[in-house]
Amino acid sequence: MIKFLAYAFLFFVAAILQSVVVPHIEIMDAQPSFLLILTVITALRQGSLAGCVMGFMSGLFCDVYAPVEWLGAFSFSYCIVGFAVGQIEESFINLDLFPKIIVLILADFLKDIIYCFSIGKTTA
Amino acid sequence: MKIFRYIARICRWARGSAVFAALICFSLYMQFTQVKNKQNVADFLFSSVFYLPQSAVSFVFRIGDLSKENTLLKKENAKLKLEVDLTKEYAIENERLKRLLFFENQWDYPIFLTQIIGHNPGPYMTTVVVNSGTSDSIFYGMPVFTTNGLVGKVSKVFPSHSMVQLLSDPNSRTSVISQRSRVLGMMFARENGEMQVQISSYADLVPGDTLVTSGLGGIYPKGIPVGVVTKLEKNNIEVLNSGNIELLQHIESLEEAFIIRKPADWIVWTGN
Repeated sequence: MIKFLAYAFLFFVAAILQSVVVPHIEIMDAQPSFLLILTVITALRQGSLAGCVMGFMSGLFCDVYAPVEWLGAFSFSYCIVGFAVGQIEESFINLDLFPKIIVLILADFLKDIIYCFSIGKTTA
Repeated sequence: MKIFRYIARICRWARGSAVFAALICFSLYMQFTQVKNKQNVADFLFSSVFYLPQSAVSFVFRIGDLSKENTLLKKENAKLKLEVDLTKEYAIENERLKRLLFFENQWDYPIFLTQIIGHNPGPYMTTVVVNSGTSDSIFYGMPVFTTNGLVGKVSKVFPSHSMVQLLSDPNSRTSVISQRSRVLGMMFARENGEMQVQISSYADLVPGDTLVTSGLGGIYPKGIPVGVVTKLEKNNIEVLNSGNIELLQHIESLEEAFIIRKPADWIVWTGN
């Protein structure tokens, strides 16, 4: 229960940071995604079930800010990413810091690919 | 024991997969449902699941917006103040010009509106500069006045501007007449700037009487209001009594004036 509340609080903080701070941060046209980082961290630490739930919630939060026609695209992509990262963690038992960063980068790529695919599918 | 461990692992995997499948199905439902349903789902998420983070985000944005709004309102306030001031100025100018328009029809001579563009330095105003000169057919000795009363006369003329000798110049003398009792007097300014009138000691003049130009000096036409008697010093021994006058047109507040295009009837030339 305490873990659940701790992750809920982290989600709350990440959501506020994503909405308020991120629009003011831009490094070479790129912006950080605190919600994705939280999703990956949750999946790496708690496994695929927690990862996909956190990913779904994070995606849903992003969805409500996106155009209503694309509702569900973010939750779909974040959920898959959370589940996939959790599967990697369970398969490889323990990852060091460097592989974790690689996993985060790959997760971002995967999320973008799935999201673009979903949008194209939806608008078509 | 090993079998139980495998079963437990499979159960855990099945539970995770089931949740994952359910969430994916819900995501796909949201994606492929009608826009109206999407809107309903989004509204529900806004008002329930994400209400707390949403309120926190709104609160932070509101604080940021308040600062911006404050700056904008300050700017707008300054702009509006300026506009109000300008409008007030236009209203005053409008009122003044209306009076001038009415005033213009009272005289037999053509009158010319001129702006005051300068005055002599020093504690007492004795001369002002107006932006009309010989190019506007302004010549020496023409009377200058406003809707309130007499101001002075043109004392020097240049092509584009002229100098006006004010009534407050100690070297100026003006023949005046009481509007009520029709007694004549001579008005002049003292060194300290006070305006005075000299009348014969038996003349009927009381404080509050309005003095107008008598038309005897050869420069000012008859009947231009000049000032009001404020104080009278009666002295039965002296031949002449003197009284203080308050000019109807305060010299300090001059902005524009009329010049009557009336040539002087005669000029007492004091120069060499």
